[in-house]
Amino acid sequence: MDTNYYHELTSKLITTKSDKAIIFDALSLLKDSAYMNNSSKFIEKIKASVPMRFFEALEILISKSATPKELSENAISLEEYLNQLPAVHLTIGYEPTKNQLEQLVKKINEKIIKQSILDYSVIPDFLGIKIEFGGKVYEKSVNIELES
Amino acid sequence: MNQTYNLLAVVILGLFLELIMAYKLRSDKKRLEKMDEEYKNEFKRMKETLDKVISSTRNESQEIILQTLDQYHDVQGEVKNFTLKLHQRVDDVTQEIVEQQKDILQKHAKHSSQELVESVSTEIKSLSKTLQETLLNIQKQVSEELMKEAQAAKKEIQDFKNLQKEKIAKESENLVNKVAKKYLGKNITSSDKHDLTLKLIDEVWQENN
Repeated sequence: MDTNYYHELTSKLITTKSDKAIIFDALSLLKDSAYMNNSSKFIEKIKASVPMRFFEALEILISKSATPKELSENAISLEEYLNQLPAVHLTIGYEPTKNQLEQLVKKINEKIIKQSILDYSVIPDFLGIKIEFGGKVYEKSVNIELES
Repeated sequence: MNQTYNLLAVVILGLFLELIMAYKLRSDKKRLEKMDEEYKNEFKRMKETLDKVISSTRNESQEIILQTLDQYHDVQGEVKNFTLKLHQRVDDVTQEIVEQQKDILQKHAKHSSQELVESVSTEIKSLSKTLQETLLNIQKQVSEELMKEAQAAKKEIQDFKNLQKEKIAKESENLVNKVAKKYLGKNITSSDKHDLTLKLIDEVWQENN
């Protein structure tokens, strides 16, 4: 499986640091259980331990793998792909809803980078945006303007 | 005449029979004498044979007795030798037994010391285990106590932080709202902040690239 395939599989699914943590736990379980004799039990075990949207992606990964060894290798490749994705850290002044978070990811993917792993922190009195990406910090806030 | 002849014939026949009988008797006597002589000869020969046998037997018996005596002497010598050897063997065996007993005693002593070492080792292990268990229990109790204290302290700090944060946030929000109200004519909401953030991302990225 190539990079484009992994991008299609994960670009809408794994957008935040917590998503990445969940999928890594699932991939770890997948690697550990890949050699289980009973395949239906194996699928059930994976299904019970991850949210459905992640399970659907894993199911595709399982269906594309002919042997347990191949599945394990594909899981490792996916981990490597996700690890090489750049991280974008946002500092914002509010706790975003799920919808708002999706909008933020979409905006970052449009403006900054095609696919990244988004992490954010909330400072309640912060009115603006602080972006940490590629070793640089980009900030624009009313607070700074008020202070200056 | 006939009668005379008959009588004569009878007499002649009688005489003839007497002659025959006499001859028979004589013949028998001679045969008996011959048989007697033969018997005597046979007896004599048997006696001689018997004498020879007796003599031979006596000689053989003497030889056997002498041989037996010799053998007895030989056996006696052998018995003496055997007895001597037996004594020596008994001495050797006694010595061997003494040596074996020494070995056994040494082994027993060694075994006992090993047992003692094993027993002490087991005892030490047991004591060590008990000590470890005790230490673990103490450690666990101390850890639990410390954990309780730490959790209580952490909770206290967190509560304080939350309180401070809420206070600061409230103050900041008030300040921001005051500014927002002044410039926008209304309080700022999360949705307003989100819209502002999206716009600011565009601006920031445009300015820097």
